[in-house]
Amino acid sequence: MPDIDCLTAQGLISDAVDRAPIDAATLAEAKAHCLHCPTCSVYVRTLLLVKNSPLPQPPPDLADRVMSAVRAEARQVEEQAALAAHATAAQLEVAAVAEAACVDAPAESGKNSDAIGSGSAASALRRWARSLSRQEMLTWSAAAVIFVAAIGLTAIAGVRVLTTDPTLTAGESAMTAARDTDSKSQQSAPAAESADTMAGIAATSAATSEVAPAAVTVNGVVYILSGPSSIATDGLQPVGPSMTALGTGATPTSHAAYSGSDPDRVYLADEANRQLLAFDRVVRAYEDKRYQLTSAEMSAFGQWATLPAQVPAPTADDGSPTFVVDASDASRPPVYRLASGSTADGIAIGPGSDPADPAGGNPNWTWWTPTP
Amino acid sequence: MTDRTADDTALLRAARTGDLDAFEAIVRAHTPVVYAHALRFFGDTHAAEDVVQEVWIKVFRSLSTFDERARLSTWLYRVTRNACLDAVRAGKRRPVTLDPLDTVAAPGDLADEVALSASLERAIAALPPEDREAFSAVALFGLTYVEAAATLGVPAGTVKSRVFRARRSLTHSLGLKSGGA
Repeated sequence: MPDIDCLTAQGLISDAVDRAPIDAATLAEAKAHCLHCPTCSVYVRTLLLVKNSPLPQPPPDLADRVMSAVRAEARQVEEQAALAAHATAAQLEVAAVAEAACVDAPAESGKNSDAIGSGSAASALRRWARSLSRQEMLTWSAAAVIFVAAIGLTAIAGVRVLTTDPTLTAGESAMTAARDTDSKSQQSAPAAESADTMAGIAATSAATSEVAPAAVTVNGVVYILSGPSSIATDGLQPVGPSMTALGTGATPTSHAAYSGSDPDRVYLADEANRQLLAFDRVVRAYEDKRYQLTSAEMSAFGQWATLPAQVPAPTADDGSPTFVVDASDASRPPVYRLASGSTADGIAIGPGSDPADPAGGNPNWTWWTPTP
Repeated sequence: MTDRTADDTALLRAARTGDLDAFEAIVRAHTPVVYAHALRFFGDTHAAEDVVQEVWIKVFRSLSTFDERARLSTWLYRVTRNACLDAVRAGKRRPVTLDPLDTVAAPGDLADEVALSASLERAIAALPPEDREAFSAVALFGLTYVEAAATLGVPAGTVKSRVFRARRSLTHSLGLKSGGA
């Protein structure tokens, strides 16, 4: 029997089943051992059994039920997109009418200089409009659209204030809404959940980047969107604000972030849709330590993490003068550390890592600090 | 697990353009794996079905953010794992708790394939959670040690050890006889 012990042989066979790279001669030695060793032959047979055993089969109609829910979700998104397109078209129509009036105006503009005040208020307004230049008309049209939109938003906010417990903050209100929704409709279709935010996420992602994930920073640490959460909010604790527009494309605002029992997960109150969104910490392992991705503020979904302010950007592709290579092998991207420090301070990963890497193909240098 | 990477990439690309038939093909191809993970996690078919629904809705909603260069199975494992953990955190479900000693098959239990599959499922469900997670990522979803390590937030060596430990536990639990069928 070849000179190899059972544990080593079994470990090598296990690695081979998982397609881990193994030296051919070593693997042959392990196979030879397993062929003759009764204990290891049972181990190999078990591996084959596990590998070839059929999976537990889901109910035959499960995929149909999934697709029904997905199609309902798709219809809802389409309807919302159609509504948004309709609203945009209406705004464009207003602007086009105003622009047409402006185009007609030059022939008469010379006559209007002394006309205001001699007719009705409406006709005076029309004459004033015609007297404006094309540029001025577009500016006033845009202002009018913004004014109308502001009135609409104010009305909506007013209704929300009237229907919301005044003792709750905005974040608490969203969390309470999530809890209420959860308790009332655990059996409701997933399609009814957060289509607004998800549509916004999709739109923002498409507009800004094809590949950057939907992420936020909380206390400088990066968390990637997992999805809407129906977690019970009673045990959640505030962990700090996150300045983000989420996926709305609006101006970033401060969102309260909360954490529960899982230290790798935070929840942000999505006030607009009265729900909680769950985000997971981005971590990587190196030399038996866990490191978390940090970044300068990421103010909207679809942005890549960048180096935090306290870490100067390298000026050369090899990371210098900020970083030096700490370790490099074929199985992972090179790991860098501060030229003037150690990996206890943190580690850096170069731009363009593999998409499967926790850095996810980020085109920037990224900085990772040990997890607390 | 079958390597479906090429198929998945083409189907995902089509699904991202709104092709629901392409998305349905992905759902049908991968639902058994998602279901198996959830069933082994909860030991309950209803809970597993709920997780499958939730996973695919999440995947559908996030299609536009998926990086085509990444592997679907890696993403799917992450979403499935989180969905299971979310259900536990929300207090809706409890993970399976089996005594490993109860899963040691008695001689003769493995007479036919059905009994064998049932014994195997019980044995997998009885693995320590961290071993079962690593085993599921690698053996069920087909992740590499490095991919699983990134998702689980532990070193690749730890994943490898856990998978190996899981297999040795299964060997003990199933109790196959040397030289048998």
